Amino acid sequence: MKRSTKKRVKKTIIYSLLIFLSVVIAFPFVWLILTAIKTYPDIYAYPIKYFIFEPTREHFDRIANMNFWTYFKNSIIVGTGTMFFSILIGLFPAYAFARYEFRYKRPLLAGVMVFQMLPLVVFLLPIFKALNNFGILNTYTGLILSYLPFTTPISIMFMRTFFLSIPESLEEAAKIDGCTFGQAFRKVILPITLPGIAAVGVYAFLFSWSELMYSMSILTTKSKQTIPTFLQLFVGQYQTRWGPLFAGSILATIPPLIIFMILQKFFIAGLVSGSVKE
Amino acid sequence: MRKSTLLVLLMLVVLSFTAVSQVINIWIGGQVAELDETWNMIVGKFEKETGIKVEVQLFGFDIYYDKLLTALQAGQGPDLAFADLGGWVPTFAEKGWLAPMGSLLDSWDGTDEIWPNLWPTVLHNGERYGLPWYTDCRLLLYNQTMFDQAGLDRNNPPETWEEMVFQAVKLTDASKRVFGYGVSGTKTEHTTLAYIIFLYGAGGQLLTDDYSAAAFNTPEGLRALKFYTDLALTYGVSPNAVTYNEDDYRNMMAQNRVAMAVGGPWSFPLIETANPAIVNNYSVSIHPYGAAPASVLGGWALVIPSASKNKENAWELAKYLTSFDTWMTWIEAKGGPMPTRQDVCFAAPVLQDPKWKVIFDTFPHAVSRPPIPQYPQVSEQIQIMIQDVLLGKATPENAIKIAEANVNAILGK
Amino acid sequence: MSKIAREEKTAFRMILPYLLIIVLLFIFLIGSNIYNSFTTEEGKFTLQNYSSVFTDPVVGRAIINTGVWVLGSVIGQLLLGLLVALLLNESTRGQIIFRSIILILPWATLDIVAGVMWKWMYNDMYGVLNDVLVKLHIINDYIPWLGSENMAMMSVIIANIWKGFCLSGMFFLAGLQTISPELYEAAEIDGANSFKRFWRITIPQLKPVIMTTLMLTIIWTINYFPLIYIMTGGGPGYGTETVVTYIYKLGFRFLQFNKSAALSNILFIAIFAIAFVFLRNITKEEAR
Repeated sequence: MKRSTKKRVKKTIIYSLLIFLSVVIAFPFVWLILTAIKTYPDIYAYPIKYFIFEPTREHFDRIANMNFWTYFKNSIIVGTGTMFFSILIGLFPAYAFARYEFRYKRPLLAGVMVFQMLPLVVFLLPIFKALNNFGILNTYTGLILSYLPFTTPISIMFMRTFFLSIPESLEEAAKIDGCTFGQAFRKVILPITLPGIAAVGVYAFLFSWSELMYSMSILTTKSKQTIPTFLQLFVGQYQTRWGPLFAGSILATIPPLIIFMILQKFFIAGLVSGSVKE
Repeated sequence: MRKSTLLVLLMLVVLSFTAVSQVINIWIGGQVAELDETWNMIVGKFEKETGIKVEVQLFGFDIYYDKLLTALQAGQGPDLAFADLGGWVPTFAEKGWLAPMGSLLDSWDGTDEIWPNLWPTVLHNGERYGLPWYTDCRLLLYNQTMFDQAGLDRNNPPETWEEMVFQAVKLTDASKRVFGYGVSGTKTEHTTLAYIIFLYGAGGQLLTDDYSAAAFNTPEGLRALKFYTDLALTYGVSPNAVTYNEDDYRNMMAQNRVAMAVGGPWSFPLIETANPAIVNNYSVSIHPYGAAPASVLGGWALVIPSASKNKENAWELAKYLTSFDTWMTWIEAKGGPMPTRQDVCFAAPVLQDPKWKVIFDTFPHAVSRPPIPQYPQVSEQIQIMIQDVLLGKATPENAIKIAEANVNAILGK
Repeated sequence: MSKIAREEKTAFRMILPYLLIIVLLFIFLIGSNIYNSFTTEEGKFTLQNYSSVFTDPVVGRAIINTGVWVLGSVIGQLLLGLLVALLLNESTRGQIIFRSIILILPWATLDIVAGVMWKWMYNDMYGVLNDVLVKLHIINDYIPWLGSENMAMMSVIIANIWKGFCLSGMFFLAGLQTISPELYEAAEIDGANSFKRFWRITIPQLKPVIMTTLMLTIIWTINYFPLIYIMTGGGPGYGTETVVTYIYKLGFRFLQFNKSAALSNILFIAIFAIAFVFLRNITKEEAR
């Protein structure tokens, strides 16, 4: 009796905390949405108009007229490309760093991290010039390539920790069953490290999705630009046009949200437990 | 004719065709970047009339500078670009990134129409590197409804500093979070611009005439600094100055919470959008002064990057955009900003509004900011100086001494 | 060939191609940066860029600010991330909704948008934050969030925690989900209460993820630039000027590219040292 009440109390605390946190964390975002559907006089009004105002879709219409959806599509292309290649490239090095014993591990890891050690802005001009020299300035390929040195180290560092948490016994068992390395990798290791891979995927997508400086400089024709480049147009010289800015950013939140909702499914417990029964 | 000469001629002909049908890029930043439909209309006309294709790109203010800088540094960039008259042109020209425009300007009849006090802003080493396109000067923007409510005459805004303090105090009610004058104190260019108005209004000046040393640590400069910061610190007529600048105050003014602030022609459409009820209830006047009326000018010019491969066409577009007809069309459509052509200023019906009369009267007396490459650093020192006083970290006497020393160090390099 | 040697060979085959490309690319890109830092504008060799960095009072201030900025942000992000991960791990109902709101919304907000939005919320004339806090009777009078150097630093740290905790939260959650429940069951049978289970099982199991996240969050926060720049521009005064905002200013505003390069090289060495210390700890843990 005592134990189940204790459990119930625990559950209540947990859920109340979650609700409280959700409200606090989502609050700025709710404010974003409210502002995007207000007219300008309502946006600047004082006392602040919270919920009582006449909503308008003028800001959303405005950005649609300015080709917002083209930039949306461009962002998706760059985002998924970055996500895909960041995971792919990082997979094997991550595994090697986790599983194998070899000399110079620390310096090699430091080497992997080298692009993380300087602010992005420092690399902008050299990368710009390099892409220009190779003729891939103003291409999605060029932009994705310029992101990969920054996302792959993270992909390696994190996937490494997830590979570490797989018990050796699993891999041994697979090998005993006659799997080649490739099969063992696909059938046993990959499924268990899916949480890690999913997390890295979300990270890489978001890095590219919200990145402004490089995409603005590297993609020079208007039709190729991404969402952040488009939205910064509204941070003007004398005023910030909150309406279109917030409308665009709300729409821009949808793909990461969807990707996350799909991938977070992989953050499931119990993937390991069933398979280690010996 | 020999075969080779014929071939060369043929190539030239072909090349000239390709040059003509090439696309020219124009990059637009600043407040006019928000007027995309108008740009499309104007540029569309140019394309039709000349057959030259133009790609227009619009950028938000902060980002525009970075993007332009990155492109120019790498030898890339547009064929024609807007540059802020607050120092960009000399800065870029010094690095060799801009094509000189002196001879082009001399061969154009529109050059004489440009307000004369604009030319210093595009000079570098005696050569002109830009064609000023639109301009402005800073004035006192004030809310007449609040004047009415405080028992002041809405058609008699303050002219001197004494009148200004008197009226501002009357307009202030801190308990209701209503204030008389907004003091710009952010770490942005607005603060420097405001100080310049007060400095020159006290009879002082920022740098020596040859821009080689600081000239503001004088009794006039100190008086200006003290008065400016006293408005916030001693008289309490301003909201928290280090957090806000004229753009914030304009929005507050639209909500009847700040009665006076620095503003200019750009403020008109913006304040009316923020609150339509303020139409006919606000106006401008020359900013109150201590010794003599003063103002500071700003604006944007068209520049041609030296890396452009399309300079002739870019110049054609520049001339077109700055032509009398184009400006008249523009000003009728948008009602602003202030043209750099005097003939348009005096001919356009929309600009005969009394508010504009104040602007045109003030403009010839507006000073420009020092057109030197180190201006951004000098400006930052002024901002720091004012912030240090506002934050209570230094007395005005010390702050001005430190700023003078730092500015001299910057200029000495 | 011994097992160790064979392992080493396979490992190098998996790692070196990537690593070589990365390091060579790095050297190639940064080469001009290093060169610039040792030359004057005309191209002569000089150490004046470095000496000017060392004598610049703003640099000293920026280093202190960066320290405060990093300390506050990292502690906030990691603690909040851990808390959130633990809570989400335990909950089963409404999982998708809670996770999506808490773990992704702030992160999915673009930098510029988060920056202008927070700046506006902090506004003390018509800002939402003050209004709500007053209405909830948490404060009596409006707080000038960005009105003084210390307040401004605190305010940007809060905004940064809001924006950045999702990353730790997400990786911690993924890590928690990989811990085998049998470990907990065994401990419970042995009589350990939840507190003990947390310290003896959860934390040690999470250690690799925690250490990696801690290292990366520190490095990222040091290098993170947009939020501060948009919210305060490094002000008021030099109150929120960090090393990175100053590097940006030197290069992009004052066009002192060489001095900017010098400062960024010094920053690189500092971060490399930090990374090395962490990596020593991380690799030592895993040595057999």
